[in-house]
Amino acid sequence: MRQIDPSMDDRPPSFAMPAAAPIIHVQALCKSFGKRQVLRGIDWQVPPGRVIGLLGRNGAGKTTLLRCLLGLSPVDSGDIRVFGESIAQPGGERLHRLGFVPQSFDLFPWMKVRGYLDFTAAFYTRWNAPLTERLLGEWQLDPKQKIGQLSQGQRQKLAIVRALAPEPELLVLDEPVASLDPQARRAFMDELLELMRQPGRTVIFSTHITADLERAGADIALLREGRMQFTRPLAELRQHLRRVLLRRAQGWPQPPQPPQTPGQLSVSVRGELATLLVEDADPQALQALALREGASLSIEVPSVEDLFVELA
Amino acid sequence: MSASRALLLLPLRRMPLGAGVLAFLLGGGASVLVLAGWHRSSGMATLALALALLMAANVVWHLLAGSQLRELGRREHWLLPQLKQRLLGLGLVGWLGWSLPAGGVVAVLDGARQGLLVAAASLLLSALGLCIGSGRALALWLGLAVMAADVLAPGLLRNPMFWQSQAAIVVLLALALALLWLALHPLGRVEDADPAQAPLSAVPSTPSLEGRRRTPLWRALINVFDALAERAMQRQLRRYRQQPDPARRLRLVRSLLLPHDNLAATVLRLLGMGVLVMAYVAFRQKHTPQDASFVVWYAILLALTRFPQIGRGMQRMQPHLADLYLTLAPATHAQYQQTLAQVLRVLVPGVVLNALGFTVLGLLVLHEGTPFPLLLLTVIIATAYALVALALHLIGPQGLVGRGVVNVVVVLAATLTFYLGRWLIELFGLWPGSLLLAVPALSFGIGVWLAAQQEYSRRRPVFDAPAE
Repeated sequence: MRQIDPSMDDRPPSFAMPAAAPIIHVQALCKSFGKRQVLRGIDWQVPPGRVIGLLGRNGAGKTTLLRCLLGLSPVDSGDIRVFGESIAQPGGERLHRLGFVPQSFDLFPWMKVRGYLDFTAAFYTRWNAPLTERLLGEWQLDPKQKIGQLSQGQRQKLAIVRALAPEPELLVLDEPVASLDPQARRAFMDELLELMRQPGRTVIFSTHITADLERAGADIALLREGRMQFTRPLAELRQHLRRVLLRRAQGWPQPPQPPQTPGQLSVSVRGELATLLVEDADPQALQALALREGASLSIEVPSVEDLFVELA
Repeated sequence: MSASRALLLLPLRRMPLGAGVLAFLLGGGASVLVLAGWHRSSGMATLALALALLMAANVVWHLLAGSQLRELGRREHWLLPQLKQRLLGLGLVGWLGWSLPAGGVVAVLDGARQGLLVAAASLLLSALGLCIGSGRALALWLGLAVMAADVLAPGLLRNPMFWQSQAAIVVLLALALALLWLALHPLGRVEDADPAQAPLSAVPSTPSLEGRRRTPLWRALINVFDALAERAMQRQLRRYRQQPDPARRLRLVRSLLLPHDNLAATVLRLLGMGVLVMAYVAFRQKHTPQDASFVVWYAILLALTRFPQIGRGMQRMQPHLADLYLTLAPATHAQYQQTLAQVLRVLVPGVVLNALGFTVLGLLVLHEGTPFPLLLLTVIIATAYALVALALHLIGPQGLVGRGVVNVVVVLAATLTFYLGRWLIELFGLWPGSLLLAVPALSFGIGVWLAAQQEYSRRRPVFDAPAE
């Protein structure tokens, strides 16, 4: 049993946005597939130079949002600006400032790895050939192998190499590590962090592997039921949010309803344990709540996975 | 719904067009059969027509069933409880359902032995449909084997004595069992899957065959075509790097999207198909002198079969074209759409060249004395309908049924125009007749293509996966 505070939907981001113009500006974005409304009025700004981890449950609309951002999926209403310009039209060279790693990659099965990279490089004015060579070697991708013969994980690696090679200012990755083994995942994250050391680079990636977000120190953007719940730096979330555990032997027929606990974001009950996610928790108020309910109290700093489980 | 009933209805639900054809044939066969019983005086001819329709329905049903069997033939599906037993049970009941009524009626009217012959023929047709439907290329070799048998033992298959003998039943049953084995045996094998092909590849394939094991000959063929494609692309890449102008850029993109439509691959395909066309024409010619017009008509339709494949491929590659879109970085959506349309336009001369090649080969085999009118007719019809077919697949209906209707309409219209052209040439002479045909046909083709290109450029590119 879990309840989420509905006022979360309208809550503005509580951290101060950097003064630089946002690299992505989304306003009132709506998108449906037939009668199924996937994105319901998304307002979102992404400042430059950040790593954004886009979180959300299956079907929350992460892939749709990312495809809309790149102009790959038409929107029903709303406005999307990337690099300050509307994505209503592709805009020529602007697309070369973007890198994209899709969930699956199947178009050119007859081509060899080298041929595919050579083909793509021919269209770019900026292409980091030494980087592609290094990554092909380190990630054990045989340039002479046909793409159709690569495993799903190898194709994902190739798609990442292809996306990194032009050194894009904005890199969008749709579950890039889903098919990768732990070594490859770690190597990919290293490359991502290396890329982020260069000034002005922005990365948005959707993932369910929350450990990667913690490692990258990413800002967390949470998409739930087609709405952006928040985009906040991980450090700030860690500083402000607390996971409150109330335990009592007789269990919880009703979730605890603390009238005196401000900042409560969600509450869930399982057996004898009630879990609250609270922003800017007041220890005294929580102690009072535990006393009133006859429960033991412990307060923890939540992990990203805890946040995902409680809020998504 | 029971599992067996769900399995039985699966082919009809997945392929509504096939289900419609099946209903038409079954309804027709049943009506004629009732008519034959009502008017007994109509004799064996009516009965033969009814049987022919029912046999055709038998083949169509097993084509559909074979196609679904191919879908079900993945290892993970065999984990479903009692799937094999249920399929086997349905197969047996199905064969009895198709064979017994036909064999029984003939047995009553013409004797038990003839009834057995019809039942065995029915089983052979079922097996043939199942084999072709499940994508076993070896089923097609059966046709060649029949041709070879007819060449080696002339007259055997047309000898009434053979069909009166017990041996005919045994041969039919043996062939049927061999085909059933061919269709069903590979389903039980555990093998590595072959990689998928490019969606717009000119090597014929169907989406459901992707990722399945192919014969060594087929794999070798694909490897040759892929090697040619790789070489062609590297050549275009070198040229583009030397001088990156729009024309070379277009040719480079073309080498990527239509990997098997380079010159070397086209010639190779023409030779390969040409051998088959020549073998077929030579076989038919051996028995009955062929009408050259029929051969030319067949050559044109054979060349036009490239477009249904393009239609399917374009849908399949939709979600993956995002990568090409980002690579090309067009200024506008229209620019990107125009690039794709220009790339696909090269298919028109390719198809005309193929049609012309098949026609030349066919006419050579027939020793046609006056080939020029037919060659001219081929160029006019193939050009006009290649433009129309490409236009319709570019902007036409996206659904399976809609695309099927488009294909049928193109075939019918091309056939009508072809025979109209032939009549015009006979009536007015070569040049006036050709002109009378060429002006409206080519105007129509070019007009439809230009309108479709304009409409396609107006549309926003689609990268969403097509609805099933």
